[in-house]
Amino acid sequence: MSRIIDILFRAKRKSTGLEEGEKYYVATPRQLMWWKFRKHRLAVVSLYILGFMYLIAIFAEFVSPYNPNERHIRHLYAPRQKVHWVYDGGFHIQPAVFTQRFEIDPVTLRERYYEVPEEASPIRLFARGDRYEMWGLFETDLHLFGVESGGTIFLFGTDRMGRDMLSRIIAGARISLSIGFVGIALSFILGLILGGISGYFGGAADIIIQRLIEVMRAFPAIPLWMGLSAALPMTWSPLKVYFAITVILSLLGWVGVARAIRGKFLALREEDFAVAAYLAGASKWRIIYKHLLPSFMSHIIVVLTLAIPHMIIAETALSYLGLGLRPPITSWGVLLKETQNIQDMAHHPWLLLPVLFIILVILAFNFVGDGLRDAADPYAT
Amino acid sequence: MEAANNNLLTVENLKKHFPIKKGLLRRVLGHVKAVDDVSFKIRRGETLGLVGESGCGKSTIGKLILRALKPTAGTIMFRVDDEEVLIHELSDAELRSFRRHAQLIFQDPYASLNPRMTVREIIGEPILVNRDQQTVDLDQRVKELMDLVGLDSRYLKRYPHAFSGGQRQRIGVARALALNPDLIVADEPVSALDVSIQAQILNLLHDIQQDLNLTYLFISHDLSVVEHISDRVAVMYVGKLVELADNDDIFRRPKHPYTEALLAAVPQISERQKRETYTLGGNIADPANPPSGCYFHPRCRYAKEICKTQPVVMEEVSPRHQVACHLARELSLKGL
Repeated sequence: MSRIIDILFRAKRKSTGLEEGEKYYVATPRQLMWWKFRKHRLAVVSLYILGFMYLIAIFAEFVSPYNPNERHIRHLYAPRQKVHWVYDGGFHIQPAVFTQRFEIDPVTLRERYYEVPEEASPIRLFARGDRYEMWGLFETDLHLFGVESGGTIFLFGTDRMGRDMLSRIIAGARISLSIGFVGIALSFILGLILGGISGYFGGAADIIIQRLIEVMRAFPAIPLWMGLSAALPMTWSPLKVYFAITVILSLLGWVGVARAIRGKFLALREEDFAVAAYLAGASKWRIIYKHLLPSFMSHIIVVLTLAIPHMIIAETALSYLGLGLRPPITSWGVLLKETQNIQDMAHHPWLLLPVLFIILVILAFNFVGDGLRDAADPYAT
Repeated sequence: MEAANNNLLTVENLKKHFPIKKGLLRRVLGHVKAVDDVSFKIRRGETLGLVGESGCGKSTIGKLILRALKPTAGTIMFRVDDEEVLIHELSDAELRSFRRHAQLIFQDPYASLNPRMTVREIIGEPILVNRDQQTVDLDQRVKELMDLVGLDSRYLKRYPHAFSGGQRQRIGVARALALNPDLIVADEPVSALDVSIQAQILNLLHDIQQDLNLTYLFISHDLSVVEHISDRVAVMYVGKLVELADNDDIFRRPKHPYTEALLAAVPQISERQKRETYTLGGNIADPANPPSGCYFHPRCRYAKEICKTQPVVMEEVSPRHQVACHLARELSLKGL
């Protein structure tokens, strides 16, 4: 009996195996890469985490319970409010937060918050709250979650001015996560053009561009960034400063991209399949866009993915030093600027929460980059 | 004598010198004489085998003929419809329209096919980029070519990674045939394949030559392969031809000591005829700094004083048998 099952099973496996074979034979490069990427568990998980973070950044106003700049003057430096399922004398499916009260400790004279379990405010999904304008398109007051007016919900506590930390971290995510992409886009355009010229045409252009890159690489990054960002006029609008900072960051970022692209061009230009296209009478541009670009695009995506965390770190570092973005723009670096003294860290540790998110994003980008690198050349044996 | 216009390709005094550049200013310190004063002819419909050790410049000759490289000096004449085309002086635009007449089969069937293109795109590319007049249905033509080289035309949409080395080389052959060329330069087309597959590809090349009246320049370092497919054979050493003769003459009655040494190194399984085997000592000469006189004299076991001082030239020592050796008329050398 078991033999029969075995034979049947094997026969079935064999038939599906054949179909799988044909599927593999006609698989496009992108499919092969995806199949290979999927095997890298950590990278896939990281990809989901990043997707989740970017989703939150895109819908920042809706996801955050408060306006990130709204000051709750009765709740300065309020600690994290815990989420409770047991309140009003029983267990509830709908969680709640307890009202926070403020008192001065009679012994130490330090301000202290305590929770009042009798005053529970259930957390509601799609609650009404502050009014905001979504993407400049329409105005609404709908938030993903919130509490009835009268209660407060500070899941990550509040800062020095009584602003909700969770809302500020979410608002900061939009800036910190996008600055990496905008900066990388600029680096990529510069790197592709200069690296492409250098690698494909060679000669004098190559020598000049390579010397330029060497000079750029010899520059110490932080002093250069500091000098350039200190030179930005204080009168500029936050948006202008934001773009100026991305330009400053990508000024050094393109160098690595250009080198990578040049190297790939040099290697691939001599590949037999590129020579074959040339001998078949294909034009220079056809060889570039049909043969060379698709062959190294995946490698460039890896380089770019691994460069994004550098951009994010650089922005954070500059802002932390007070040379990057400035309030009222909220970025993770700007948030961390609030925690520059030991009192803050000792008494209000929740102000350091942005660090957790920075680490999470950087690690996720690195793992995704690793996974992409393994998948970038699905034809390597 | 045959009529002169029976020659498809005439190469005269072909030279390719690569400059050696050093330093920041790219000063030229010397030249690698990859191909140095080479002359030969290929008749329409024949196969000329070109043999030599690696680095002797045989692949460079192939690239020069296809103008993947520009010659330093010399002439390459190609007969197209009773008209001589001077390949060595074609402009880029003229080259693109000439390319349909001469195509290349690559050595490495893995590197020569773009892994990101389907078989249809790979074989169809030459047709697509040369479509000056309204050509036939691309799919139809690609399927014909696949039939011709013995590939199942149902595999049209597959990518190269679905195929074995031999099948990939068939794709390479189909691509070379796509434009109905007159001349095919086959640069070590079977060296990367298993021996059992080599024979299949050689037979395929032989069959399509019969069917399509193709002319081959067959470059190889493998003498047994060359013996199998060539009508005539040219032997090359450090950028120069040293012997050029009919297949049978080269293999049975070699006139150059280098040819003899190459033949002596061919492994033989059968013990029917005991023949002397010996291995050539020394290394192949540096083409940037070749020896004086005959380039082969430091490794030649027959070398005399004249060989060290006097340069050699190709001479016809017997009908249709050219040799570049001072001692060609004196020596009696052993073939296979």
